[in-house]
Amino acid sequence: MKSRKPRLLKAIKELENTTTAPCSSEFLVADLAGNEQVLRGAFESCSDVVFRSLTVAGASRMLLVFVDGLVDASTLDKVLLKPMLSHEMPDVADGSAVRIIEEQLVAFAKVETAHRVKDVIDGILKANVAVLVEGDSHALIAELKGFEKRGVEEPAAEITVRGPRDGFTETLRVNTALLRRRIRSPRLKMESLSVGELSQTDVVIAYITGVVQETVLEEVRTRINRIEIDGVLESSYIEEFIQDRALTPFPQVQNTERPDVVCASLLEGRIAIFVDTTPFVLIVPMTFWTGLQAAEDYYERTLYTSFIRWMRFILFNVALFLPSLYVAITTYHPQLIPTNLLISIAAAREGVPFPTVIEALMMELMFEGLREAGVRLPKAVGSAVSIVGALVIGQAAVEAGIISAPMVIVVSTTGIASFAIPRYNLGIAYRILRFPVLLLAGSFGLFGVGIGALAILAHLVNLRSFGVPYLVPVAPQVPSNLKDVLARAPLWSTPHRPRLIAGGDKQRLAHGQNPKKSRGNQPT
Amino acid sequence: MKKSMNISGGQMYWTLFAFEVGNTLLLTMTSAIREGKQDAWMAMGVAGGGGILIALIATRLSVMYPNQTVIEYSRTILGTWPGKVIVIPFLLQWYVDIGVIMRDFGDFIITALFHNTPIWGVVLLTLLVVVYLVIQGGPEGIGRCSEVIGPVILLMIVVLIALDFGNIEWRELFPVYVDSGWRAIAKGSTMPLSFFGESMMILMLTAFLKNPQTQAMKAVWGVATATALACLATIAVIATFGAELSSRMWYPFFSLTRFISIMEFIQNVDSIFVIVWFTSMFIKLSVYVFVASYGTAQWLNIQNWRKVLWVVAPFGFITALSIKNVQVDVPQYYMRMYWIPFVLPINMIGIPLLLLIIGLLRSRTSPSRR
Repeated sequence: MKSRKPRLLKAIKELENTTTAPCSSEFLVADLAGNEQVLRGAFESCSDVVFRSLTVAGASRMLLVFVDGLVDASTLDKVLLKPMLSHEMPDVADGSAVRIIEEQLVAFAKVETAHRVKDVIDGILKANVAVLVEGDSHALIAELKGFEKRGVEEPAAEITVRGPRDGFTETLRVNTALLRRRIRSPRLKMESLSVGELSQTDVVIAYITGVVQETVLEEVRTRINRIEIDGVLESSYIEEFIQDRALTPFPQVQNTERPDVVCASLLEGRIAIFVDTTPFVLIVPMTFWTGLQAAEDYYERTLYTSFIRWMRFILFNVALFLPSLYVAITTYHPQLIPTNLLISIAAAREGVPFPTVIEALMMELMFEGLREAGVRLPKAVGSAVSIVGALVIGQAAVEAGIISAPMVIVVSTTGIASFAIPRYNLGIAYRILRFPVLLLAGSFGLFGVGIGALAILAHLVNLRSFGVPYLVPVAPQVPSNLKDVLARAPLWSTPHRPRLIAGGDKQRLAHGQNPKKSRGNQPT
Repeated sequence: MKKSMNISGGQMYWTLFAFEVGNTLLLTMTSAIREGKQDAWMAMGVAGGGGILIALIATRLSVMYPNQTVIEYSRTILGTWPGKVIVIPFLLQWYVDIGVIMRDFGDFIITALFHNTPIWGVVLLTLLVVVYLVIQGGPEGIGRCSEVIGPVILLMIVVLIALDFGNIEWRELFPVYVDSGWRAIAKGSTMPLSFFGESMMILMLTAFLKNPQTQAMKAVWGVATATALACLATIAVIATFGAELSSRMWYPFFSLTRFISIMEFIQNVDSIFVIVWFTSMFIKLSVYVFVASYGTAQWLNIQNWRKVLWVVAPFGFITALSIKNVQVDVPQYYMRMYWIPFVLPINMIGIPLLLLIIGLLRSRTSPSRR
């Protein structure tokens, strides 16, 4: 924390001082009224902070401070208040009241003592109950989190046919528990820290010792510690600060809603970053090929998945290059098209007033607009968008002779192909890159497309995610890992963790487990 | 600086392969066929053998000084000033060649693909991407690009030759040897040899290898693969068109692609292969641009070689555009007057051999260096 630049910190401190003036005393005092005054001053105009003072067994006064809605009020009543107020409580002499309260608090999960006013305030804000007792200069901070949380549901963005259906939620502890349930080893570490001067968002770095590459881990730590921001609302805030390069369409940090994906990544030696209040967990380092792999790949049969992987690879090329190839070939190299097809394309294009590039650009922009509208609109209106899109673009525009029918086919194929990329953020990269390549194709034909492809390649080979080359294991080549990229290798055939990503313990399963052709003990 | 840029043996292999194969197939076949007739494939093989020999010399020399480029160890071998002077032909060659390659290929692109596109547009666009790759990745970026592109080029050329199988008339290849004799074959091999000999780039690239001692030979294999493909391609060309016709073509192997027609559907695929050639060219240009910038920086003791790039690239651009008539200028003057009589014997054979011999003698006489 020392390494942080103090400017933002200072600015926020100053702001705090002006708004909460009475926070002058640093330590709690023995006088309960004094403490209460300090806390009330700190939480001035915070209508959600509850101060409840009561007398324990007729002698000692006690003050409970907590944020309404963040703590479990019914448990609080049942465990602390009811016994305290009941008549069975023995009369106590001054001073021993604290002990009795502490005993009562044993029922709570976690109790800490705080001496500083700041710790008390922080404790209250982190959904704990602060208990202050007359004549005592320390407060007890009891954990009694009880805010509303969503249940564990199937993740909306990554759906599988086969595989676990639990997804992360907005609550950090639930998420880490989902992870721990799968990897029951003390080697699974979860380092906790908080980011955001005002939001104080909990961030957890999860990794498996011995599997993770220490240098990468250290890099993750320093990059997260370097962040100095007022608030973190989503893991993308963290992502923006820790990624290697900002000005590239390609994501260098993977995000997922699925615990099984996180586990698989951890077992490969990657690092997961959990951020409170979001179901999206970050995984670093990311490589290009993880973007083309879906969660389900390892749950289905290898032959099928290998085929699907090839399909995806073709589709992602289609998503990137199909419109530009269409434009380049029809405009500059019509001899590449078989004559019959060329005639029908030419017939379809008859009467279309625009050059193919403009047509393609218009349609692509329209498609992006449709997609955006479909995602953003309320569900009730969403279907209207698709109907309008289908009717207007698919039918009316063609009949009116504004757009040619082949272009509609090309654009919709491209659209479908771009949705076949399993990682949404990698799909976005292609959607953006499509436009410059389209312009190149419009002005330089196939040569332009080639230049575009080479430029993208030149960019990709130089991209790194936390020091790991983005295209690994294709460039730089790691032959032993290649088979899991070109196909989906059967589990027993990949006994080693991916090189350049995993550090230390390279072996992940025993050799020679491939199913033999032996006929076993057949009933005769 | 250098240690931060590492290339692996595989990358070296693909770089040299891509570096050699494109231009050789495109530009040298005509002259080989003109001299060697139906035995031109032997000329190609001989030239490739020569190229491999040059690569071997370069490798042997570079491995003696594993972490230095030729600019550096020429000084170690010959002393500071002679060492500086002897590499001047290299620098000259690289600078001039960038422009010539670009012009040559720009013209090829325009004749093959377009008609009205200005050449400066094609050259500028290519150069921009090359500069981007070199400035971002250096030899590492080039190596990784080749690793992706190389297999694609190899596959495409093999597919192309396979698709041509229907057009092949084997009798065009006969009689073997009798008609031409070794003189014609040797004469036919000079032009391809001057292209295969560019494998002396190894002198600059070995310094970036992760394990020079074990991996340096990969470069030679890259040249060998290119040679094998060139031989195959020449056989295919001769068997398709016959020696007489193909010796009059500008780009006989390119014409071969235009000839392909399978099922009335796969035809006129030449544009696609232009792009494949283009990628090979792209690697070649990147290597040249990098080597020229890096070499100049070392020669002048400039710390940041990337700054030299801003001189090399515009210089290449201007050279490419200032050649008046490429169809006459390049084969007539550049190839005949400069490339074959000077670059081939001096840069590709003379200097590396000289350095190797003196280097070997020196290491023999002063065993303390080892």
